[in-house]
Amino acid sequence: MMKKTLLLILVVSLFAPLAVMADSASGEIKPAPWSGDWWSRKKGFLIKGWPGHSPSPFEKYDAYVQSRTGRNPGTHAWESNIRNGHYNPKAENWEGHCNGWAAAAILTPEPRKRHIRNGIAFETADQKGILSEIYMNTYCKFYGNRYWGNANDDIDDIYPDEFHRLLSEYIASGKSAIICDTAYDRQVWNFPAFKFESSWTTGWFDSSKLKVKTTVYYVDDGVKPDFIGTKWFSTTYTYNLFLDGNGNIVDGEWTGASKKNHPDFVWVPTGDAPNPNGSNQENPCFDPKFVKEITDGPENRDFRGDDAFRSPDAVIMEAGLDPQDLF
Amino acid sequence: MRNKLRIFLLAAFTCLMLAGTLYANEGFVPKWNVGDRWVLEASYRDMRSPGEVWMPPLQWVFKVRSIKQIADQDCYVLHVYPKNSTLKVQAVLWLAVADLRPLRVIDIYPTNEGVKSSERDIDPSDPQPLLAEDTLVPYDLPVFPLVRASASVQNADGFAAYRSEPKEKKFAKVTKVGGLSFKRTIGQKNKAPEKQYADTFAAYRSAGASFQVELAEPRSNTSLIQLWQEGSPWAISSESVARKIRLLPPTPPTPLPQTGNGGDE
Repeated sequence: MMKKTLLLILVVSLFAPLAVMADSASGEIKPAPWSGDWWSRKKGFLIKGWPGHSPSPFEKYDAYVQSRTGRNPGTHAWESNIRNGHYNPKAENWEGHCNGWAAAAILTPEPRKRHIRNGIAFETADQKGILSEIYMNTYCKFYGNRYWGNANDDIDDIYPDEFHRLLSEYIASGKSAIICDTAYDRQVWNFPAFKFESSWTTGWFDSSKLKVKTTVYYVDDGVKPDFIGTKWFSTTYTYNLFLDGNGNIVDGEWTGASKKNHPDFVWVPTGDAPNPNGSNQENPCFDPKFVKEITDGPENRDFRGDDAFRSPDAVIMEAGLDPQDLF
Repeated sequence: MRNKLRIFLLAAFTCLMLAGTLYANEGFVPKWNVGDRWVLEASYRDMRSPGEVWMPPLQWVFKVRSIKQIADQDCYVLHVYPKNSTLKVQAVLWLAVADLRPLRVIDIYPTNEGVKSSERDIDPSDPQPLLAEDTLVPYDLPVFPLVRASASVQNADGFAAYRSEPKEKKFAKVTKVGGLSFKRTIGQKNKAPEKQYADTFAAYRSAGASFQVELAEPRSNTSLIQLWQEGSPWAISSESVARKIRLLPPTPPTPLPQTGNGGDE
């Protein structure tokens, strides 16, 4: 009996390091990006308003800027022009401002209160609509390659090792939510990912591979215009991460159902951008300065202030750093 | 006899060390002074759009704010910020004066809760290219000094540099995040600039040597090509599939309004 026990201990101690190892990681961005309408091109809520909501967000914006400058900036007229491609009763059902909403939801605090500016009431839905328009173009970091269906496009991209690194780099470190095109094929569905839970095991007697299961939580845009808060949905992905002799991840592969259900590309917006030359992706009649006046600050304000000069060091201080210490 | 052998070995070792030092000093490392300032213009491709759609360019100011010590090394403290002050993205880099080896990087970025920063220290004993992977700030730097492969193979016809294939140096870049470490291999190749880039140098032409540096990662099948010119503070051109960056030629100074705190944009 004693001999058998000793033998068992010997076998376990010899092979334990080679057996299954398990670990996990998670992360969450707080506050989460906000949910908002994706402003369908077909419905045209931004220029027509919706039942119980009139005037429309863009009519209010034009009225406000007119009160500031004496001139109508023409956002409503531009958006209403079908030739500009933003409002079109014949547009596809899925066409809208989802990328503008996703970027605004990451970069701006959620408008949760009515703001009255020069006597004009901007409800939360008005503010979200305007923000979703001006963030249609952003400067952003882009990861992976968009799948167009061309012969040399790799349908496995974005690779899971890069995707897992981005979840860790941005979400686990509390840096930022990231926007994923959740459709692995030609379709594009942009949703901000703000939370993940990941667990993994090595294979039996195989420490060169991690078998990973990761649930990613995405912010949903299937909400009414005046929705406040974060509605989310989740998707679980499975993949293998391959390790070199030093335990570094050097490669990866999607597994199971995730081979045909994984993100195509990831982007992280870092700031508003004007239209590229010859593009009308974004309504060019908006001025970010006036949008900021509407969405920032107290609930009620007659805006008469001048534009203050902001030095680069002011941004350093806003980040909680001290220029005196740094430089 | 044993003593003679010791002296011989010591002398041989000293010669080897000296030779190594001299070789390292031969290459090109940009030199800056506190207060130096230059501007890069960067265009970013909208990779989500079909075709080649490029966002309107951004200008980035690079300013040497001070020289400080980290890990017993004198470092330039380089502040990089956009000329367009509404974009709240910046970087502060600590780069060794000796060879621009990065020792510390602070990235500053916007969130829906205001501006935040992240700081990372880089092991000075493990030189590797600095790549602007997770930021818009175009602070990509190769490993210095740059040495032209052509220098040792220049032949009578002067075109040997274009025929010889320079050696690629491989650098392992290990990032530890979320309890896991991710390894990527970055290749750096230095060579004489290809003829197609001749025009790029026109605005910057000085007496010094010029270099073409290729930073490539096999799995991503994208590479960054930088052109460096002795006498210029930064790469005069930097191109990848997603970015085009150029150093703006210096302009005569014009009087600026006083801002009182070091900012000049």
